[in-house]
Amino acid sequence: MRITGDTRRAAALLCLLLCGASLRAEVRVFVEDVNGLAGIKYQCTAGEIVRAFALNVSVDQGQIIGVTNFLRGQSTAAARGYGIFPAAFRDYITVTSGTNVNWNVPGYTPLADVSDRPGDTLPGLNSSGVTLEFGALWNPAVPAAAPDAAGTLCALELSQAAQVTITTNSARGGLVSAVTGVALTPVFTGGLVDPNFPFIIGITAGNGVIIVTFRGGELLTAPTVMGPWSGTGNTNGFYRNSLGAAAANFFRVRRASGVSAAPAITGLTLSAGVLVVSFQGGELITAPSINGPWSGTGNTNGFYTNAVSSSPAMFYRVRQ
Amino acid sequence: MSNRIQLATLAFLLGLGLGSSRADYRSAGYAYLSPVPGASYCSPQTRFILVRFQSVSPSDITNLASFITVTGASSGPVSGTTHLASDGRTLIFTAGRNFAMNELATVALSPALQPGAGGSVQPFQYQFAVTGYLPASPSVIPIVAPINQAGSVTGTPQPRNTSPPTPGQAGIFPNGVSVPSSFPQISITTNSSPDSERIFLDNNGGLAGNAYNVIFDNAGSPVWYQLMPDARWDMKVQPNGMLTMLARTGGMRFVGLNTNYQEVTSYSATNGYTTDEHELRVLPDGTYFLIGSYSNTVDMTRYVVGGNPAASVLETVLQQFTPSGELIFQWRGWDNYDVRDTQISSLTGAVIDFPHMNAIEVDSDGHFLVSSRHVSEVTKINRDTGEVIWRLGGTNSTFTFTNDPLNGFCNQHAVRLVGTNRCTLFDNGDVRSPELSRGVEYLLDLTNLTATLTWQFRQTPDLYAPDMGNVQRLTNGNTLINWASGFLPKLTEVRPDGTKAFEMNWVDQATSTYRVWRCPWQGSATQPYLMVEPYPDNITLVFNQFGDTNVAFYRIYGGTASQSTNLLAASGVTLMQLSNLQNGSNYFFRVTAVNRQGVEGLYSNEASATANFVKPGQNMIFNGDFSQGTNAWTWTLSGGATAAWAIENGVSHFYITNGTTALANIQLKQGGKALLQGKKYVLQFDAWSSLPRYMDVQVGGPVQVYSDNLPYLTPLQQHFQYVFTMTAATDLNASLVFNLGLSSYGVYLDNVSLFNPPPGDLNLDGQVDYLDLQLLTKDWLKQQSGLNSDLDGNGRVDFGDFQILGANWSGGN
Repeated sequence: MRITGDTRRAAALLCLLLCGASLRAEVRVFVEDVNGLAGIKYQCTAGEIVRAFALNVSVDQGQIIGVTNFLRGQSTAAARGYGIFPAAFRDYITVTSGTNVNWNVPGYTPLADVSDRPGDTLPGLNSSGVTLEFGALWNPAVPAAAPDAAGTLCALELSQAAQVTITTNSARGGLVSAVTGVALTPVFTGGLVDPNFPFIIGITAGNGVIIVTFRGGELLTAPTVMGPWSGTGNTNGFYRNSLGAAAANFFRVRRASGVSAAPAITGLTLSAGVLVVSFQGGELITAPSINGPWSGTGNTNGFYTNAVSSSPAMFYRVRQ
Repeated sequence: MSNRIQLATLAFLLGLGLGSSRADYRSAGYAYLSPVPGASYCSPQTRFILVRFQSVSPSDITNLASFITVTGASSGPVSGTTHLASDGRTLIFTAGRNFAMNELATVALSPALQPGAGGSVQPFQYQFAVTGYLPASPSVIPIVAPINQAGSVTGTPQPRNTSPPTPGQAGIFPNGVSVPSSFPQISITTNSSPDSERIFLDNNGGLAGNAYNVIFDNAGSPVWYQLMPDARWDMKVQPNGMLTMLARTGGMRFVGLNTNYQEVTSYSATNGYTTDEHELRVLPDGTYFLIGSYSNTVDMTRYVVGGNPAASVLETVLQQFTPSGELIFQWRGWDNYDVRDTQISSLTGAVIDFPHMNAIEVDSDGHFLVSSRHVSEVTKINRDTGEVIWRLGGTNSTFTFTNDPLNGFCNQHAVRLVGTNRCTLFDNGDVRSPELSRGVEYLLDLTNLTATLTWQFRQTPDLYAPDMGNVQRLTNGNTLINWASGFLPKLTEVRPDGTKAFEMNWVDQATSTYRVWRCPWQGSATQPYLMVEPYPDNITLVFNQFGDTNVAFYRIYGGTASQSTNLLAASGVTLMQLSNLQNGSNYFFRVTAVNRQGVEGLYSNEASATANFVKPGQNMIFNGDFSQGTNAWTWTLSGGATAAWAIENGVSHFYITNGTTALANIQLKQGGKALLQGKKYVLQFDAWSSLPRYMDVQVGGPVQVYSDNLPYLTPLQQHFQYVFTMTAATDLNASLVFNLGLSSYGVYLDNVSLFNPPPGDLNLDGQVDYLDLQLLTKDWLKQQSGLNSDLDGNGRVDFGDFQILGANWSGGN
């Protein structure tokens, strides 16, 4: 049996939801699957403002093949975030003025230069790990220019589904506060990122037409969330249908055959006393405590519902 | 009447048998007369004639109000009143006016006794000379050896302990007492079960000229302090419980503070003498003793070959006062010492300091001891008659020194009795070869007339303290020795076996302390003592209600008008920085203490400061580009220099016609700059000259120069930049000075700036921008010491340094 970090996180999160525990003041840095990209995100929980992040990001299988979705330059009220990358600034930015530089130059990315500190730098793109440098500079006279309390640093493209882990890069200073002398308490949380994960990207309805964009398999539809589910036969990622007079339709995507997924709980929702657990990669198993005893639900189709209004706290994970 | 005529008159009087000797008046029934018969060089402001009878009670005098008459040879009869002093023993004639210069004064005593009175007294008449001398010329002696002048400090500097907390910066000590940046801290190098009493230190102001008197505890924390307008020597607790110290401003005097630190009394010399700085002794009943000084013009050729015919001789005198302030005893240097015995002061010099009395002691038998440094003598004086009981040391010593490897002391300070016929003193040793100083204790044998050295302490290696110093035997048996000068320890507490229990010095070793004492003391102020300091980013208020342990918090009042009752803030600690003030406005502040019962106390003293906030990178120089003409600058010529200053097209042009021989004789200056200890500053300007020459550019305070530069100017406009770090204590009123003398070539000056570069301003242009980020990233992840980009000083350039740069970011695109 394999218990992934993600399943632990999901179990812990569920426990928190059910037990109503309070949050800690900390800076969370976490990985979130954003449309199949590994979104590197942060969240400040107690009003801190982070000046810089030095991070090591790695995958347990495959490679990191690209970095996108990052800010360039100083943080402004119009574009807040972390767009100062010291190594790249040195290597790619030409400074001709103290107040104005051209940021739109090739190569200016948050990727660290391995040659700066070979022993303290992950290999970079097309490997299993990258070291990232994010700094923020803003005019202190314009408080609105400071980075938001939560946001995205960048997104990483992966070659395949993988567990993404994130840690501090101490050689570069790790996480530092915007205020000198204030120590931050970073909490790093990795995550499963699957570039091929079956996923409904969006649903729009109008003029009697419903349009569903999706990826990763065949679109299924059902009249209720409990089913019965039937295939649409559509695997091209774009489904268009007349709304007609039918009752509300529910949609999900069934993974394309032949594509295996790592066991993981991919979603939890609790609504009107009904718990819906989305999962992949095996059978959902359940236990009254994190230490078991675990028992199988027999459900391997990736979609499990259960009425929990009178149930005690339950923990879930996926058995491959 | 000329001096010559007066002297002729005097000779005539003497010829008539009107002159008198001391033996004469004693045989006539007088115990003590002041001025003494035949006294020379008396002050024309001699206002008190003192008379004591040997056996007659003053109450038996029937004509007490009129039995003393005084006449000036040239000024005529001196009116006055006579009364019996509160000691019941001394009759005081108070003259109604001063004497004339260089005249002879005659005192006639005609006491009438009531029938049946005990004892006897005869009429008596005598003279004393005002400012001059009586014509009984002393023998003239040749000068056979050069007089040893007071030398410079020599010896080995004492090791210093670990750094005290933030010297040179405002802060709060562990005991809760806050101090301003100018506060003088001490460095304790030995602290091993010392005496428990507080340490009382006066202070000459050190390099910065800030004279603080401080009471410290043995941890080096101040218990009380005050910034003084002058060097207030000899701060100590008197036997009557008064805390006394010298005060110079407003007239030399000693002042007395009660246990609430309130000045409640003062003590001054009189009778034509100025209060001398060396000693005040107050007895438990309030009787007090002072030393007075008076300078006479003296023809020293009468005494020494080669003497200055118009030497200025500073004489000192012992004066005793009743608790109510009546002068009842006076004992003068001219009357009791031979000026030719003077050491240190050259007898052929223009100024002679004689005999330089510097300590007073009262023996258990009631008689007095006085230390006279320049004759190396401690003299015991009969309290009633003024007669000398014995002389210890010097050329006329009653005693022979025994067991003393140095065969006695010389040029001493601070004689103190520590038992019957047993005394301690600080032996400065100025005329000793080699020069060395020590604390000593002697036992006097009045039968065999020996002075036996029973204890001494010398540093290893020896130290030489040319001036001042103190020795105090403590109640725990240890001995406090104050070496007084410069880098020498200010307090060495020595056990009887010679080991040290405590040793300290000022952190600023340019600070000297006349005397250090340990005294029992429980002072508690009834109102806060407030000091304010204007910093570039705040006005710092330092306030302490010293010794009051019942203070819950302080209230701070202030505004732009004096005596403001506008409550600004409250504080549980004794230091507050106020930054939310209108820049450029002058503020007045007062503070009160609120006790634990909620009762608000008295207002503190009022202190004011102008908010002159300057951000890092901002030019501290007003009108540095001369766009406002000469505004904010001060232009001075001295030493015969001639020059003109004009602003031409926004450039300062100095037309120099006579540069004299000193750079400083032509100065352009701007003061009021706050320079903070440990901060870096950039001074820059454009300058050129009509022909090549140097000028001198300084940033400094009243005593110290923090940056001194000699740019070489040519007819080509050059940009000069000088960077310095303020290593001295914070100076909130430093000046920028351009010294333009020495050459007569004209100078042009423009674009003057002085700023504190913000952290991260790596290129020192006053901004933190992409140029600085470029410099930082060039060093990115380098690991070595001394990198400019290593802003946090941890030996590597990383996001920790980026954090500092970012905190001071000036903005960009």
